Amino acid sequence: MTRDTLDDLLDSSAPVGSPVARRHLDAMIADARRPTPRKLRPRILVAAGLAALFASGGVGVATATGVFSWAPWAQQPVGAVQFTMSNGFDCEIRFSAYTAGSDPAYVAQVNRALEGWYRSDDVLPTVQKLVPAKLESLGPIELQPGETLETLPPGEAEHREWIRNWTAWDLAISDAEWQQLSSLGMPPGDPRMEGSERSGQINCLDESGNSYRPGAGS
Amino acid sequence: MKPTHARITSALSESSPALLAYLQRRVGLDDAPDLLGETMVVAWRRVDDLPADPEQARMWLFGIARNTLLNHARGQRRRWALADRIRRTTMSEATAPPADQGAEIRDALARLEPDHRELVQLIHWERLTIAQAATVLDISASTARTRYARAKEQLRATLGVATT
Repeated sequence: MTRDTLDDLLDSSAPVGSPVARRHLDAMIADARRPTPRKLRPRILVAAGLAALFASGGVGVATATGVFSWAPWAQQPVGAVQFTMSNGFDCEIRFSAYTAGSDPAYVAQVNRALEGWYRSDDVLPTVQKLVPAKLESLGPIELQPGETLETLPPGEAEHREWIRNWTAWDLAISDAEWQQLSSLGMPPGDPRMEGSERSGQINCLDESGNSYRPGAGS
Repeated sequence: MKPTHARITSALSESSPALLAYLQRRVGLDDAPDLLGETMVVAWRRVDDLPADPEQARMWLFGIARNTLLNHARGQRRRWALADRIRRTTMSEATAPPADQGAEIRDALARLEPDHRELVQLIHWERLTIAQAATVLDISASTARTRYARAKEQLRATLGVATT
């Protein structure tokens, strides 16, 4: 069949995808043999904003001030965790309440339980214990074939390390939350939570105390 | 490892980048990893049906991916823990193309009948042959050729592109 202008136009109209590293796909193929659907575990939408300012770089003592930009819902989050990444970045993650769900009363109960837990002193130590294993499972900084740390553009290695760290913290926080909820008789997988969602946002300061804009320099 | 397990691992490894791109183009970066996870889980569950021929195995996987898309469109949705890592990677590294790049063409595609649109997208976006797309859509090659010709005729009229 002879190709013409329309063929070229159609070929070039494909929306751009985002390829991932082979090892992620290979890990997924292996995991898919033993599927663990997370059908009722709410999704977390992470949006990155400006950096929060912390009083100190120490773990758990960072305090946000008004110089950063949080999404409207994050002005009054259900929970927040301040921590220092292994790369020295001081960060804060905030989470909204769960919305929707098939049983609003039950979802509200979960939100209240989380709010109470986040007010306690147990959160950071519990999460911190989980982070090393998460970092280990995530592996080293993502490198595409042919890339080395030395050949990455300026700031790119830092960016990827930031992604690796917040992913580990986000996963650890999520696990810790569900451990807590399970201990209160609210395990993941309850059909009353089906369809519920919430949002998350992270802000960080780099090692120099400057606001870190995710994606900048990458 | 059983021979069938080795074959499906190889088939998935070979096709998963293309499957992910296919799903990303249909449902976006956030949902595509879950659908890829669902595709892989179903493929493993049906491993005994895996065609021996590698090319047919690839089309078989595309067919499973398409069924997950249809279920997604019906509102049946599952979140897979195994998809989280891919989701985080794609969401954090995504680069958006100019908003109007190809928009006119996609608008014209959107006006096609769903069966015709899917066929054209499989051929031009996923770079399948007409025969391969026919296999994925579970229609005959001759039906696919007829639909494809009609779809392109309509697209030419909509876009004002003459035959060259």
